[in-house]
Amino acid sequence: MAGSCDYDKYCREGDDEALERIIREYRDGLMLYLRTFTGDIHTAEDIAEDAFVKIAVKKPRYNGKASFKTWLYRIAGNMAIDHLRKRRESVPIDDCGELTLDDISLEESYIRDEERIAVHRALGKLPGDYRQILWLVYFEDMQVRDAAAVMGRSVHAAETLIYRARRRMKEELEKVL
Amino acid sequence: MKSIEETARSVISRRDEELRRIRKRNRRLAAALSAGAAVFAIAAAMIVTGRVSGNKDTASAVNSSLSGENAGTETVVNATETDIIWMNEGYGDEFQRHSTLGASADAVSYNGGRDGSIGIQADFCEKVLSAASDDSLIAFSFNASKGTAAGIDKMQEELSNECYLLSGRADEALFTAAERLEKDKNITNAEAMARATGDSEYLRLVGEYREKAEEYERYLRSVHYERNKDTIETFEKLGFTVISKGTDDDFDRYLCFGSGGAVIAGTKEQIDALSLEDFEGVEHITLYGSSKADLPRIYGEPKRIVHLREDSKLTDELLAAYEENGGAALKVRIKPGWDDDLWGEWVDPHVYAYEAIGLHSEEEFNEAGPDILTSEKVDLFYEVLNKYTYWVNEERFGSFFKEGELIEARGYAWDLIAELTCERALELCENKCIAYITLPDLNESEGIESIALDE
Repeated sequence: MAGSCDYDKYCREGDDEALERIIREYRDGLMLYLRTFTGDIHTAEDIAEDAFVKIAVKKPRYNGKASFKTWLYRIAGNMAIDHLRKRRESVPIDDCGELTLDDISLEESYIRDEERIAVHRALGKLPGDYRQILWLVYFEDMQVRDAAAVMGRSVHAAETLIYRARRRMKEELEKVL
Repeated sequence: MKSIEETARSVISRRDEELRRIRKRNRRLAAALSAGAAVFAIAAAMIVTGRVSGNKDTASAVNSSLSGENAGTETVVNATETDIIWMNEGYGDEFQRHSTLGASADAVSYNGGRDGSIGIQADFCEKVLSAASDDSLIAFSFNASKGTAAGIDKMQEELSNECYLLSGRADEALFTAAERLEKDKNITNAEAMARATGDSEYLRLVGEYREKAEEYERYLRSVHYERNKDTIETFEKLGFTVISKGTDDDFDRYLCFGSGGAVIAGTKEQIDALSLEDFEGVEHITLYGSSKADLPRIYGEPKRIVHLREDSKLTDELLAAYEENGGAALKVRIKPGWDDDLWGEWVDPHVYAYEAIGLHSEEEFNEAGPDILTSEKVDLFYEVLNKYTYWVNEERFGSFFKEGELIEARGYAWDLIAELTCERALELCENKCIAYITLPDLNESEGIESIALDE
């Protein structure tokens, strides 16, 4: 799996292939995560690309305290927040927007499992921070502490958020099932 | 949606383009530095606060945000996008207090000056104004010294009502400025800020900040002389005029002498090794120790600039309060914090040093007392502390002054700050704003050259 080794190689040697491996490994998941902020996949795609450009240019120090993925997601998440702040936009709290063909295509390639895709779509009905924590924990298989790190929250706060998000998710699923 | 391959190609292409831009800018910077001879740069660390909105008419946006029943966030937020550029005069004790206590952590800081350099202030600000987009809202945070008070008039005269005064000063200057605002604009500056951010919490922080500033000063007065006695004596032996020793009333006044000033931090041995030649052209030295690192710092009098920021919890609180209200704040922090901005975490270098000797916090260290630092631990403690703290590279120390090289350092280094602030300023302003780096010639007391770091 691409990650810190490739990033280190890129930073030290400027190896473009290492950078490409990182992009290949993380782009789709990152886009879907960023979609939980932006509500649309195309803006999420732009921000994900911006995030890759940012690390490619600035080569920020990865200190190994968390996984490379956690670190990358945190950077991109911060950029998404900046983006929303700049645009003065907010994703409707109860709706993540209509799915486009690109959304569906990405879901099919990244999530694959139909049942999980259905759950993913239900996520779109949740508030942004619920979407984010659930995506990280249930679709990215992150530990709570890593999800907390990505979202800039304490572990305790993340646990509380997961609890609330699950409860809300259950309500949403009950509506459609 | 792009394919992954297309994304990769786009990323690499954009990276190359960005690197070309950076290299071009660095060449210009290097050329300017070379022309400037022995230079310590950064007069204007431009930090731009957030994107808020106002209507296209800057002046009316400002005015509307500062007056009326519905003043504040609602007015500011609902209109067209605008950049607020919050400029901090960055002079003297105001500068230092802002730096150490974080009163205006997000600001344009530049080397102002007292009565004699008002023209420079106005000139500088005019350049910024002309460079900013038409719908930028520009606020100035000033020290309320006599010269600045005059400068305010001058600025307002020259720049009409496009500038506004915001300040979070801890002492009487705050009130002086507030009085002026009350008189001129029928508003206090604390209120102005609170309204501009729509944040009543800010008022509480300002109050807390005042208390902390006073506490801080009391602390400095009580400990610094003892800490730095040896170093002060060393400098006196070298023939320097040590203005501040931390023992008299002037300390307060001169504590934050540097409206700039080259910051020199080093071990006692490094400091002891200095010679007069190292300070050629430096007229005054103010010396005091760091509240944290127990390192001596030396500030050279004007035209040698540093943007110094020590982080504090309060800084974070103020920034957080500001950010919550729509501001985008940039924190320039000492390593290892600065590049952790992306990560959003800053760790006091001492934490690492404490950990190295088996402690977990400053509190534990204090409880244990100095005896905890056995001979082995002292070495380890400072070895780790040094690793993460700004140190002058002794080998380049002389050339720092003599040849105008950018100092290679971690933390408060000019190039680092220039990169971060200018990059971020440009980014935040969507490349509409220009960050200036002033490059005063060591031998020209009045000289200020500016280069525009535009696109």
